Amino acid sequence: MSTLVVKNLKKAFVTEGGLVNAVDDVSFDIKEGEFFTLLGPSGCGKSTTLRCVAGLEHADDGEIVIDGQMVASRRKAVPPNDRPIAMVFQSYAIWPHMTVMGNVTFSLSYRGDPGTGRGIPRSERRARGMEALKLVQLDHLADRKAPYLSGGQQQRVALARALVVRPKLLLLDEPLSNLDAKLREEMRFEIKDLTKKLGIATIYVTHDQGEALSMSDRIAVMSDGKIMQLGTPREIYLAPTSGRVARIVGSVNLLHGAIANRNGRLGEVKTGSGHLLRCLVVGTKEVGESVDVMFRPELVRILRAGDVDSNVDGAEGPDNILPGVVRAVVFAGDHIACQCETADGIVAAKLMPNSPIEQGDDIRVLISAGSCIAS
Amino acid sequence: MTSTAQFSNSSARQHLHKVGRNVHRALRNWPFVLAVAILLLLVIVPLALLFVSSLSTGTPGNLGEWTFDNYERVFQTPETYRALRNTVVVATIGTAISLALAVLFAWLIERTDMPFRNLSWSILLLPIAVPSILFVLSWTVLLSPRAGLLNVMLRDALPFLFAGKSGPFQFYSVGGVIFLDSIRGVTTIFLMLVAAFRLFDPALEEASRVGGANTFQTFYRVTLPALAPAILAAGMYSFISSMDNFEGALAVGLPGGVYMLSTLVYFTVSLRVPVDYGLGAVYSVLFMGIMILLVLAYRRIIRHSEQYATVSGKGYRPSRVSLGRWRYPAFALVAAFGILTVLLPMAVMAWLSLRPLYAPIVLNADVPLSLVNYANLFNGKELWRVTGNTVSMTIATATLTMALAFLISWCIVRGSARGRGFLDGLTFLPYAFPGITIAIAMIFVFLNPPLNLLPVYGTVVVLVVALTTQYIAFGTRLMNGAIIQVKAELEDAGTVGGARPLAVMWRITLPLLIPAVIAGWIWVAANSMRSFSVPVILASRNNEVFASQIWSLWQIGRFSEAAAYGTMLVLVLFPMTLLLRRLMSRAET
Repeated sequence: MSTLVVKNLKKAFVTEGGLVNAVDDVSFDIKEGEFFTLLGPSGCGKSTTLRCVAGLEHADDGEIVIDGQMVASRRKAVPPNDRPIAMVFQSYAIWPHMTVMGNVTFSLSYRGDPGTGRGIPRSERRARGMEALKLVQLDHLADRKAPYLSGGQQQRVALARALVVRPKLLLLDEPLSNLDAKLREEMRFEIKDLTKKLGIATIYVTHDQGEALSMSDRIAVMSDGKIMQLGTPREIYLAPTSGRVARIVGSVNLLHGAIANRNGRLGEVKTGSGHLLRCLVVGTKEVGESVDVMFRPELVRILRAGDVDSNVDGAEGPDNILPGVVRAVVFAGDHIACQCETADGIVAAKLMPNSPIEQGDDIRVLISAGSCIAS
Repeated sequence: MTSTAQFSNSSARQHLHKVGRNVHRALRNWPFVLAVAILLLLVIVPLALLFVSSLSTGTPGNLGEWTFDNYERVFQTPETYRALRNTVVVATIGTAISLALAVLFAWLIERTDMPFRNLSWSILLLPIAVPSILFVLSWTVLLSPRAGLLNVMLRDALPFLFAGKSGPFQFYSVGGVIFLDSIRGVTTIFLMLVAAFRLFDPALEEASRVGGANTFQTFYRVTLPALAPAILAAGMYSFISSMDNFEGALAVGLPGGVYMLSTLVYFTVSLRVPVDYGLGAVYSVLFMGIMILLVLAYRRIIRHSEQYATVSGKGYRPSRVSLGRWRYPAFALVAAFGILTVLLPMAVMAWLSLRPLYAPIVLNADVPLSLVNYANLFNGKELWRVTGNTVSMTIATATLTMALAFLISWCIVRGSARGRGFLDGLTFLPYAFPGITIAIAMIFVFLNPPLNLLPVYGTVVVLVVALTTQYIAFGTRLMNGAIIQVKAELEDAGTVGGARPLAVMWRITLPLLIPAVIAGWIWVAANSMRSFSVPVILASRNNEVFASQIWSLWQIGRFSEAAAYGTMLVLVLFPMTLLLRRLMSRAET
């Protein structure tokens, strides 16, 4: 059974510019224990979707079912306090007038034990709070006043406060965006570990593709209130169904062309300069229709004039070769970013840091057919 | 046939469903409904009744026929126009002087190296602790044309210059009212401006200096224009309060035959024989009409001033302007202000309270000073009754006002956009109600059906209702600011954590707002104690409070007892005022 089913969710806001469809017919479902991410730029509707699931916003239309219970439909809207959820907010929302323990055990006086459905006796609440704090390694700070915590500690308290009720569904609204870069990396793994260990289904909202790709079981990429693509991190990253999705999950090269021939998923695209690129064609486009060819900079290889590569120059031959000139080289430590001018436009490439490439070099750009997506 | 029937049936069901949903939504929104209902009762009902009464022939409790007669009489009386002119003249000149002084003081204290700046801050704040009526009465003791102590002293010292039995200061005049109004108005404007001066981003001035302007040019071309909206808003606010001025107009204007709008209203419904409620209602309506226009203008100005982002809020310690040899003269000016507004009036009151009852007020070393007035008061029953009334009025008003303000602000800040503007406008309206017209409106409200059935007229309850109406605008603005500071996510976290909306309000929102609620409570309490027009107009044998008691004792010549009451009141208000300063400054940081 799915822990969460969202069906045809719609939500519009009235703004100064008129009616904005913040969430426009969004549907998805989350399996038990799944880590599910809503990824997209700010204003794409991901947070509104999450707030609808939480019950903090009322959807205009559509249905939400949590753990088999209908919580939102045209007819009814169950308030947040009666939904079997827990949530971590972007600002953490740690109550400054309480201690750490006060924050963590707050929900226990309102939400019963999900197993028995009964209320949790006062005497037991502190023990449960300690248990939750141990999960995030903050049990030693239980009686500290909430304002005397660092950002990272507040984040952990917020997590403990959500986990203490043993929710069926955990909602995380950009929980890492206020942390510094190093702490953010650490917390990624910690959050994923915790939710996996406890078997909690999780919706994670973020605009950071790194977080989405590294943490999720599945990702829904959103834009303009719609889900553009839904799939595993690999599917989303390696086989985006549109240029927009490709750009949201990472940097990408785009070349324009028209389909010259197509045989199932494989096909050839003729670029403006007349090159034929072998690609994986997604979607329903037919021969003659114009398409975008996408490929990631880190999947591009560069051969300088005189470099010999057995794959390229051997009998088999490479998939695609574009001759060009290096226009700019930026050394960034863990990689070299370089911009190559080809007959079809600028191609960005991400190379190993020890690559001897220089500005002005005549080069060949190599891209395998499996890395080229035409859509 | 069948299909049409079915169709209309289903559409009726849809319609019913819609109605049910709306009712359901309204009930879920009960705090909003409650807030609107209370505000309508407090604000709109009195306003409407005043208006109806202004068009009626009768008296409160028996309104009689419809008529335009009252308006006709008002517009045919030359006194109306004279009072209007006096009011505008006093408010204009008074505000101009207080504005100039307040800007100077704010600049001296926040932006220069004047000595004793912290003390100066307190000096500027302390006039709040002196009720206007005491301030005004003390000055009549000092400056009344015949017997005023300073006038007598001047006549005795310089007999060749000041002959005659009165003067040289003809205090019972427009000039006298202006004098009192102008020094009285400084504190309010100062408090409204001081934060703007403190937080003013010095980079703006530094940019001007780097651009080649000197200190004076910078002040004139950058600082002053940048702060102009704030100064204009404060001046407008002060102008509105000056229009509302009652104590000075009553104790200094009236003896000299100078009527102002407030005293004209008072005269019509309280002093004139026979009293004329219809006429009083017309004056009140006109008075309020003018004030509403002013308040609307004020709202436009503050909306404009909020758009100016001159205040950085970064907690800069901007470099101070060096005053050089003007440092001490500058402080002397502040000290003189303190002497005129607090020290001298309170010395007069304290001295008066120690003198025997009925002794003529002259400077005479032979009159023995003693605490006998206090002893008599403490031994009598009257003081305790008045104290009981004052305390219950104060506590009830402050508590009711802040509770309402919390409810209303919560609806304004967290509510839907549509209801917000309506509520906001409704709470702003009482700014336009002069205390005196609120009091008169209360007479109409509680002497007319249906509320005349409640036995509250002439009790403390009426005072509480009137004062709450008067202070709700302030309370709501304070709470609006405080609730905006509380992030909505803190409340959302409570709801998601399983708490119902009321539990969230009780366990999260309210505790976070406690500092603001306490500060507002003390502000309202202090103002209730000092309030004059409401208790005096609504005074009866059962609801005498300190302010009305002081006035009625003064009128029958029991000056020493009145002064004793006044001195005790100030002794309570002093610590409250200082506490308020600490709370407010803590709330700011």
